[in-house]
Amino acid sequence: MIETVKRDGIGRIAGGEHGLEFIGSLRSPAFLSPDISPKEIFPHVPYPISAADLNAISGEGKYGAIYFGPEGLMKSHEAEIYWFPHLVELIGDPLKLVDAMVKARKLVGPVPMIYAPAVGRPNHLALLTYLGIDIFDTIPLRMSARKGIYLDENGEWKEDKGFDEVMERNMESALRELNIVKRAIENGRLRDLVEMRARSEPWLYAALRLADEEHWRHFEIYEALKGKPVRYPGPEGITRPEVMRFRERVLERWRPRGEVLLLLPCSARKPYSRSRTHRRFHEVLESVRGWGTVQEVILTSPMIMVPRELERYYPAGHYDAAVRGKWDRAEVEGIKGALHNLKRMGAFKHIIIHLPGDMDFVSDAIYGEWTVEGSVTSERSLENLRNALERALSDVRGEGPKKRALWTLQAMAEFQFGMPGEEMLESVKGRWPNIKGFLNGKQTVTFIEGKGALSLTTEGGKILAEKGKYRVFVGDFEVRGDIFAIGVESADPEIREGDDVVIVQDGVPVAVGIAERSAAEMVQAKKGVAVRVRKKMK
Amino acid sequence: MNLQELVRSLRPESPREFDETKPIAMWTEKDTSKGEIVDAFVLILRTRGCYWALNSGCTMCGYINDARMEPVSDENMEIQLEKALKRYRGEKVVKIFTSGSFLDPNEISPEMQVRIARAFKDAERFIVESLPEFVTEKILEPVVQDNLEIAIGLESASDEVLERNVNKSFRVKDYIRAAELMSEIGIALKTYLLLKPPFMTENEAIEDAERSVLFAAKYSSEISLNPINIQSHTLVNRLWKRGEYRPPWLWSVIEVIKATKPEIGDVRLVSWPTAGGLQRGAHNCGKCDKDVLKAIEEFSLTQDLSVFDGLSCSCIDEWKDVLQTGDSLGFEWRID
Repeated sequence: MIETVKRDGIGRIAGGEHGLEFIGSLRSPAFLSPDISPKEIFPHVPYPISAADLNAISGEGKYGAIYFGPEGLMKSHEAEIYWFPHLVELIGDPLKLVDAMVKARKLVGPVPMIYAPAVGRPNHLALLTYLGIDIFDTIPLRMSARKGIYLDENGEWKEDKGFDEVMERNMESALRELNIVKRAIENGRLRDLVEMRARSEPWLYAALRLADEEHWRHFEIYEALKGKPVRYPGPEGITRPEVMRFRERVLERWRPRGEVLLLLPCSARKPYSRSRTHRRFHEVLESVRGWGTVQEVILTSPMIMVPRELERYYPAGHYDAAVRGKWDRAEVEGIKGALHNLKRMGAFKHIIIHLPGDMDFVSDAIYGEWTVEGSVTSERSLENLRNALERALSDVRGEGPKKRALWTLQAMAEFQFGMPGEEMLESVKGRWPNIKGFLNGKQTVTFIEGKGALSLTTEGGKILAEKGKYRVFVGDFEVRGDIFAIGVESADPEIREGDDVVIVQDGVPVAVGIAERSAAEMVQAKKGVAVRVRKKMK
Repeated sequence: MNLQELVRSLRPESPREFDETKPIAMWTEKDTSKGEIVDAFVLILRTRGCYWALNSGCTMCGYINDARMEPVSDENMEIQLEKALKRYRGEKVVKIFTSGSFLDPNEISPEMQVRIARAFKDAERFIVESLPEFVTEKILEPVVQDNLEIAIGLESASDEVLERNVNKSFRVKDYIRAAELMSEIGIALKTYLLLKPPFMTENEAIEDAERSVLFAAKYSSEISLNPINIQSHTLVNRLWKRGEYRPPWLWSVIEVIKATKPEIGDVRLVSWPTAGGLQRGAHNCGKCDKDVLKAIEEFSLTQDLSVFDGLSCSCIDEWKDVLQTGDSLGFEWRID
């Protein structure tokens, strides 16, 4: 039985009874011991690919094969560890490699291990792990050493040394890099490492960009709500799976409220409202009567568009990007596109644009009153902002802080659970950030500051179950403590690691908790915790 | 698509314009006769082409590229023969090939087969090439003469390889039948064997060739080991272009020779690697290819295994790695 010990996207550390021998480790990612002859273990796949095209390959037991067969990418049978013998042919071809690995993972699911023979140069390890390969071998190290090529995490170097010496060094750098990959996974930073290593060869970088651009939905499924600081140093931040998920959900699950739209710049400090600039914006905003109705939207990269209500949600409340007062084409296009959508989504009578001069491209997409002169926090700018807000709010029905808090929590519920917010809560109690939502006098949700999200009460769980969202269906056993994967029968596909979910047994909601795995993985896995139960229904 | 259809789909579609009054090629090379190294006259006649290639074809064979696909008339064949005789300087060995089978009456009519054979009846060795399908009493009877030798491309002694890797038109039993008939009549048999048809690792290829040499030695006076070279419009060419096939190493040629020569007594074992040393042919690292090819050539002429003594290069370890890798993985990881 294979178990994911720690997942970071599709990349992971996995263990269990794989029955193989790895160099210096029991867990993947790992190098298969050279003492093992895979041919004796895995089903035979004819060489080359074209020969396999002509026939279907069958097998049985724990070890299977993934191959290019008569119906595209195929597997020999349902197995626990697969080898993918011809993947090596695609090394260097970013389009085909990424496509093959995405298909392979879809084919076998998230739990089984995948071994790619003759693959595993040190500078490829991070990306290949990120794409879903668990097991490598030492063949590429050996073959390079034969040619006097020394390999490390930065690429290859010609060495005027004998085979033994180069091989020893290749082995050293490969194992060192493998440990770095593991550490990155443990720290939830595999993607950061991939972005660094991908720059060692153009095709690696192309593969990373293609994985984002063509397949981000596939990678997003396994991307947890980490709730930890996240760094976006490069241009590929804008297409990272968790960023794309946030961007898409803003368009799909969020809707603006009120008739006054205020566009604001981002701040380095997260959440934005903790920053000096945003505190000053809010001093101005809250000094104007009826301010609660103002819909604030922060324009930024790589998140593109962050409504104030969602500024604490991962990764909007956690990211650090390379801001330089200049905007790349992808950022400009992203923001313009989001603004076009925003205009359609809302019914704004007044649009106030409090953005710095380097964002004047915004005027291509939306028409409104510009209030900044010089710096966004200059006296003049803030005065302009106050005047604009006063004019706008004198023309619409204002709302107080109470309504604003309700709207905020409702927007969060919508964003988080994909259901109308007013069906989850109709009133709020408490003072920010200790704020709770209620429906029919019963508490349904609690705002969790650190997570920037809502946590379900058992009442909230019942509503979610009724709405048919974020449900984990378990078998017939007494729910005591956490839910293990073996007990999960099915789960709503939108569930990601870190989501609040409701446990449903025999059609009845029995507990609420936090998903430890995505829906796909908790259904397929036989080992490990699926849901950390927070509270059982009485 | 099965292998037969796949191979066929790679063929050129329409007949090509060839001058049917000119042989495809003629040249002189070295060969042996009566234990001596002598000049050999090689003539390749333009014909309709191999019947099997016209239907499907072998995975490595590019003969179809030279085939006219339409029959060549007796008159024009006569003109080809005249042109050849003009060039012929009485070399002791004569080898006549078509891009198919000399004995196939649809390529060369029975009358022309006899005309051509008699034209070279004074040579010490007169060698023609044919599929075993045409090695029948009826076809042989008029053609037979003292110096006649027939070369058959058995390729491999394994039916499985013939079917799955080569897509050959016949099976081993057909070869045996032809060989036994020739032995009865007293015609010497030269057998061609392949080294490394597609869908094999380097190691499997060596093993198959070794088995095949030992088998063919029972019927042949000479065995020619032909490492695959890449010819256009073939399956091997497609695989090679996609990076899924590497022609065999020259070390593998030597390996097969060394392993089998001591076991086959007087039977001559030769190898003339076409495109040897090139990417499209059997090759090593590029540094040693010339020396290694020279040794193989020398062996083919002398049958003396000691020509390989002291032959070495740093790439021999690389080759051994390839064998070991293929052995443990069950597929080959190219390193070119």
